[in-house]
Amino acid sequence: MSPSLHKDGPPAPSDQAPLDVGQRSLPPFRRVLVANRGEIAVRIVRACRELGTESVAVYSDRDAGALHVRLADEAVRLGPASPSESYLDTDAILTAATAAGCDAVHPGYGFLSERAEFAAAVEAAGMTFVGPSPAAIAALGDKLTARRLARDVDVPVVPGTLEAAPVDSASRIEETVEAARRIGFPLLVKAAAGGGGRGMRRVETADALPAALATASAEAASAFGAGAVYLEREIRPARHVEVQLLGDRAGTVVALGERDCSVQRRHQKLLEEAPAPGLTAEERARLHDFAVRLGRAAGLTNAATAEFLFDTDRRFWFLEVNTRLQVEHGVTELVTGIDIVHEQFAIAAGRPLSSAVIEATAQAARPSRHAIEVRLTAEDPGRGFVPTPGRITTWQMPGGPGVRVDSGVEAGDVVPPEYDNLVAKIMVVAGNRDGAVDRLERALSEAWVGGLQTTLPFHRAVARDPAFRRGDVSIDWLEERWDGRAARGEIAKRAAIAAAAFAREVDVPGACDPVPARPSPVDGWLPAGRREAVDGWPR
Amino acid sequence: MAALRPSPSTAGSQRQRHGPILVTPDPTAGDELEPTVVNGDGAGIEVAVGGRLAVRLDGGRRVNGHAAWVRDARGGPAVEVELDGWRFVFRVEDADRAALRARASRTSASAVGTATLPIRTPIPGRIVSVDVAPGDPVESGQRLLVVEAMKMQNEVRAPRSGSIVRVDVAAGQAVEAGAVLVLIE
Repeated sequence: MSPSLHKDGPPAPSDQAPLDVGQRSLPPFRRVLVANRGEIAVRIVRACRELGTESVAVYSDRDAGALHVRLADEAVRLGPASPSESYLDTDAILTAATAAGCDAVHPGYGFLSERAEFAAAVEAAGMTFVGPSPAAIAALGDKLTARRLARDVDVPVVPGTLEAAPVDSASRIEETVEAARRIGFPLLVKAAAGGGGRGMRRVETADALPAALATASAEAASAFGAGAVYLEREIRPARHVEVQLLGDRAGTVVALGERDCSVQRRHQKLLEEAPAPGLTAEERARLHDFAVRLGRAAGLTNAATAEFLFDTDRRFWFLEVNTRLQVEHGVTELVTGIDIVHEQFAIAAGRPLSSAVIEATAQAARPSRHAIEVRLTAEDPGRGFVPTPGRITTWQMPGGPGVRVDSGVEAGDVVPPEYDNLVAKIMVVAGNRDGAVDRLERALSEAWVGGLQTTLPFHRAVARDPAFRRGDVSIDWLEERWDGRAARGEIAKRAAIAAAAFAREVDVPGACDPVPARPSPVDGWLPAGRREAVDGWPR
Repeated sequence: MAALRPSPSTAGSQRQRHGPILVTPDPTAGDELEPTVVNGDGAGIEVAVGGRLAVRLDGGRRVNGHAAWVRDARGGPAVEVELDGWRFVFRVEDADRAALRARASRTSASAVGTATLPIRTPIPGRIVSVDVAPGDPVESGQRLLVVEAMKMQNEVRAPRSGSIVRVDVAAGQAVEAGAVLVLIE
């Protein structure tokens, strides 16, 4: 990093001691713009405060009174509620960062976090991007490039093609069908630029392949602006495991252990744990080595995650690398004691990996703690997980030993329909997996959300499920075990009787006293109040 | 949905301690539960201070929960019940009074000759498209419109055959949960 970037702040700290918590005399940056919203923006603002770095939040009109705005040192409006006019608007974010005098930008996850052009634009504007280099983001963001990279360093890749399938040439479709026969059916057609299940098709027979190629490519082109697709064998049943990587600018890349994210629904993770249950120390070491080799080959710095499948023959298959902080980074923090966001800032400021990280890495194959996270979202698990945006009237989260809750809302806040519906990550840690499952069941029994339906009943059902306790989870777990309609129905009749019992005991209140809304232009009462005050003045 | 606090001035004015109670699920919650008349059959259900609930399920498992007075989608008083993480909203009223009112409204409906069915949105969001216009005949299960919330598009379908009397929303419009979208006759 050029010292000129810090002309108003502390000198470039590249030659200083590694950053540890408590060293507030050496903040890595003077002012950081947090280019995100919700719980992850809150998480990053909290890290800034601990490091003695000022934080600048950004918000759309919908989020004007949101928790991340309330907690940050300063906040800048980006634009209307629509993501493309606010959190995805590169120009608006760069203008806000420059105007607020920031020397770094943390992208969080989602939104602009894995866009190489955004990272490059931040650097071109004279600020530090807290994440991997634009070149590494671009290389690993293309799944085909990542697959070839893995092959080059002898990391087993899910069998499939390594070049984009020719979708626009009818004469060459036979080549692709031939390649598909070699891979074997059923297989997956995947978008090279894809993620979250978009641009992906499952194909069971050769006949269905040409149509699947065309629709997947069209979907990828509209969703990601790039229509390249490739073929991949479907490995099922399998577990989804991923390795947390950290790399500094001196070229040191380490693995902070792995996570298991097998409880998913339509390629969306619902529950994550660290370490992955049931792996031997040798298997862990082998998995971590695969990930580190990939990270080194890609010139990876800062934080990233390498994702693998683990099949029933106990083999690992490389899937992809995410070049950002993951939603589920907290479980790794609870197991290792490392604050990954602190480390991200230290690395971005040019400091070497801390001694604590190096020690944690040495222990990564023999973890002595177990952590589990559930993603509490505003969705109804009784009705196919339909979104349930609305106002939260009651918000009671668990506490006590070994519990951590990362959230972006409080009672009275609105979960808006425009954005991701994650409302809280409830995490627990204990000395072993059984202890962590017990603690999870206890913690979830304390949670209470009023005003909207959340995924809490689903998570409670997982926590008390005997198969989950045995660590017997695959990616198909949800489809195999969860019948939300029946689960809700079982409770509904008793709930109706409870409502009558409550009505007998407690009087209907005469006056209505809504939970006070937070000041927000959307509600309009604050501007209305101001108008009234101004108009009422004597002239 | 807003929480209600007891007001000392009216406490006791609407007590429902005795007699059967009609419990009706709020239409926006999407439960298929029929309206139920509950007599004094609250065995296995404890209501403690602050609306805390302890309930024994049919299988014997005990679950905890909460109940509170709130306003339903129409603005009337309702009971929000949280039980084992599930959220319900019920309208509760004196069953005898409800029966009288139902008889009265049946009489007025038959006087008009037809019954209209309001179609409401179960979720707040934005109208993506409206597929019907006033006067259109619709088949049961036919798509009426699409509501988008949190990047997911949700189709609203006709619960029964009939014809469209009124369309209250247009594409691009934001709607609150429980808002009437169209009327079917």
